[in-house]
Amino acid sequence: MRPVKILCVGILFLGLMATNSSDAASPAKEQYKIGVCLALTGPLAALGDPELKGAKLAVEVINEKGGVHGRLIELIIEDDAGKPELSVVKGSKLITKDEVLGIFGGTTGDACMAIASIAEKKKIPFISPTGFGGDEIQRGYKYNFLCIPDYDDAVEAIIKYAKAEFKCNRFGLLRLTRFWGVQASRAFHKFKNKYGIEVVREETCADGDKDFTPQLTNIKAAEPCAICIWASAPAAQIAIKNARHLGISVPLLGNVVFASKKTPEIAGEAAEGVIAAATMIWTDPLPRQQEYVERFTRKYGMPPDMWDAMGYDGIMLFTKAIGSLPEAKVNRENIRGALEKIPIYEGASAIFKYSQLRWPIAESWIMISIKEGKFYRIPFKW
Amino acid sequence: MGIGEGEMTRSQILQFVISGITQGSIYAMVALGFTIIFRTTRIVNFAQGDFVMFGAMLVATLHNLFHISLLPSILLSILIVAMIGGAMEITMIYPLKGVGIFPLVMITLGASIIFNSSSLLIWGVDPLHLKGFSGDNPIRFYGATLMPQTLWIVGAIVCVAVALFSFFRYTKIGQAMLACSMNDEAAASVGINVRMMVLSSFILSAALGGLGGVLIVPITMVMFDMGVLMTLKGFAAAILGGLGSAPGAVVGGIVLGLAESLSCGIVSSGYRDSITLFVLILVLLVRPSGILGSRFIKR
Repeated sequence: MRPVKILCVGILFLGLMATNSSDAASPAKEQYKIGVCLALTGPLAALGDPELKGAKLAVEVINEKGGVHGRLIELIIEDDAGKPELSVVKGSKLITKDEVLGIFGGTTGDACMAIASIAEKKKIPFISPTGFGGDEIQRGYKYNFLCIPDYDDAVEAIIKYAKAEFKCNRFGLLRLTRFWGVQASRAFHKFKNKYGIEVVREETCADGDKDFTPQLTNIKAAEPCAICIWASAPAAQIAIKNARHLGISVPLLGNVVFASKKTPEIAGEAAEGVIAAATMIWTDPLPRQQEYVERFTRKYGMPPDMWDAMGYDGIMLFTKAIGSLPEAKVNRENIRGALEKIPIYEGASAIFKYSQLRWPIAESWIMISIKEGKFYRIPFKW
Repeated sequence: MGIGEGEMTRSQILQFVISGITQGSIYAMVALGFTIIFRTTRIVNFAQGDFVMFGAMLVATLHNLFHISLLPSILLSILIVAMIGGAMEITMIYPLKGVGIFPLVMITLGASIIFNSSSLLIWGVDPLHLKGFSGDNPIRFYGATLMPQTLWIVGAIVCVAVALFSFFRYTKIGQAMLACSMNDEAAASVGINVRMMVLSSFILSAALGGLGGVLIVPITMVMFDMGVLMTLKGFAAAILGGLGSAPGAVVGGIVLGLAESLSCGIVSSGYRDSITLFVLILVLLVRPSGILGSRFIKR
């Protein structure tokens, strides 16, 4: 009787083990846990949701090949709704309770800074798809790495392009009142002398605004030869429409928000010919991005954009860092060190040279435009 | 430059006024929704903006996704939103009758959160859009431009305001609704079906919200979280005009819209919201009952 019982328990135990790690390469090894803290609900879910999709795709790609050091990657997912106060709570939970090796997250600049500060204190590597980039405090952080190239570089790209293509040196600027907009404004002023340009009129707007005609009317009156719209979605798209309806015919310049899949659809004809700095465009990907675009489209049945590409790159960078370490030495501190030594990683979104810079290099920015409702890359030399 | 400085400014100001009236009409539409429910129940319905969001979402979905032609989509959207309003009253307001006004106001706040989240689940996070009813070619005059959709919005708000004003003043049902807000027991004792009046006020105000949403989507697009801001601006407009007054709601909305666009255009876009709120406080200090405040506000 007794041996049978033991056998039964044994089989049951084995069965449980098997279900626990049914698709594991080697069931004995524990998984590498990476924390993800993004805005999955709330208004910023429009960015957080694709970021998570990209991260999940990266995990799928890595685990298909058997993971790293024979261990699978597991994501512990938390939702901070884009609110920094929640980011602190969720980030701390990931660090202390889930004991993750690193965190990917921070959908907004504020959320990113909130996590970055605790990551710094708790000494845990943190890769974020956003961030202030140019922020002095963040520049001093040792544990925070960014997936998005510096927006100052984007502004420089825009100015450079406008100067070269239509000899423009009088810019109008419609920007957000919050930090992201301020950053754009500062960048324009920073490059004033270098490129001999001036901002003839600067106007501000807020995230939820629905009408930008007063601001654009004033900008129009100052007679700029190009207008830069630095706003979030759908504000940027409404502003594009407003500008065209006001009869503004000068080129409209923008950032990653213009590159949203929805721009041609919701801004319609008004979106024709807008120019923006982005890192990836699915209708016209760079050779290094082609495979990612195909894979993403196959998995989700929809085309990718730069936000999910950043989610993908974030997890890939962690995996690269872990892979470069001997298995016994995989810990938070060493992963940070390994990230810092990555010489070059040509990702789905950008080109990373973390050994030189904690965010992707300026050359990651590409210039895009819309023709007949379709995005395409426009030739641009740095 | 062929155009003189003075003329330039005039066309600019005209543009600010047009922009202000367009935005103001939208606020007025929400404020009118507040008015109807407040006049019948004295509840401030914080889910009013979500009716607008639903109307906008529905019309964009029906027209763009299901390819139903414009007029039926509009009518169907308004009908569905009216039903949502009715369902809200039946499931959330009626079962709690007798608890007083304040808990019910909190319930509407909860309803707003539910509506917001369900919209996120149904439509996702991307904004939806609809073409203007009469195309998207701006009309130009005196150096300013006007979207044909603006005419639709302003026309609709005028019609609705006149209709509502007459409804409350001259029809039996309108008077009965009014009676319910003053004293529901007395109203019941003279044979008014208070229950039906409350239900119809929710249906009517939801339908109005739906109409507002349908009208504004070509101009502002719609996202799942649009309702919150709509409620806020509409509420401010209603307070400004005098809560409970239909003409007040319209005037309040237009004044708010003009204050926003003029302060944004003439003073500074950075101070827009502070100036707008300053106007609101100023008006309320001078006239606590709002510009066209009714005798209802006695606090």
